[in-house]
Amino acid sequence: MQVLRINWLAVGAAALLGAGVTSSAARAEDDGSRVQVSVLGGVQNLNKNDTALPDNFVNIPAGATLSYDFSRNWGVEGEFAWLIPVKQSVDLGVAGSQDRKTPNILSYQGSVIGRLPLSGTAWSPYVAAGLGAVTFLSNSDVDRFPQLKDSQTAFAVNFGAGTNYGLGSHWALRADYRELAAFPSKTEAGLSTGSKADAIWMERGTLGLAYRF
Amino acid sequence: MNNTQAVGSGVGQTGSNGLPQTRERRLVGQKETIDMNSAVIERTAGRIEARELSSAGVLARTIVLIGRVFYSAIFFMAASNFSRQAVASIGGQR
Repeated sequence: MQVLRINWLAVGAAALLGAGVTSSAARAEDDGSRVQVSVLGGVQNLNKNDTALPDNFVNIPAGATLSYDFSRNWGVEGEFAWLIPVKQSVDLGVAGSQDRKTPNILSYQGSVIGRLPLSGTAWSPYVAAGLGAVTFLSNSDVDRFPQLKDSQTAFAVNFGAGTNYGLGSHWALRADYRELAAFPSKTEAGLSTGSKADAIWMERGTLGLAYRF
Repeated sequence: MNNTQAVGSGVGQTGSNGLPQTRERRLVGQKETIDMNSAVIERTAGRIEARELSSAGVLARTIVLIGRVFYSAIFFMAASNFSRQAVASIGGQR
């Protein structure tokens, strides 16, 4: 799985380079609407690892983004997302299958976006990559896994791709698929085991609406 | 020692022995994990344990599969448009 992730990263970088090649020619077509807000929701998978999560968890992300385009092809975006936990049957190893849900999780990311609008169509695909943080909020209820006495904030990175489909001069449908990796502390209980803390990899697929001012 | 090795690919495919194809083999210290499409086999110091994926695990793999299809569609769209623009650009220079 790790090999495939690295491949996707390479493809994303190549697509970004491709977007850069056309940027100077495309800048002339800039329509001047540079700021976009969007609201997104979907599903987010937290992959199991050896030090925090004994099984996969699937939660529901709800987020909002604010982006600013420097040119037709390049922009930056900030996002805030709340990962709403869903109780599900998970395999806890020797404890067998139990109904558990993760603590509430907040994500804040800043990303660079490379857009490549399709000429003559309403489609505007993009690739994105960035960094930020993820906060696992404290919760020690018996149905939570892991149980956290204190909130923990971890450095995180993201990369992925998506597309807008224009519905008019301002509104667009937006689909986004993002890979996120959080790197929790090795010393705090809950997300680490034996002074080791593996990265928590997450895949997130979202759909939503975007409004361009 | 961490060692991850992809030894197969394809969701839902079966090998020549009729068993689900192996997706990945991981070796972390003494623990070897063989990740199948619908089950996981773990071997720790000679002790072998096999278990089916939980419903969360199956759902997670479905999300990953959908993501790969989505990525493929995005990159196909972008690449076809880029090549179209490149051809048009070359044509315009003549």
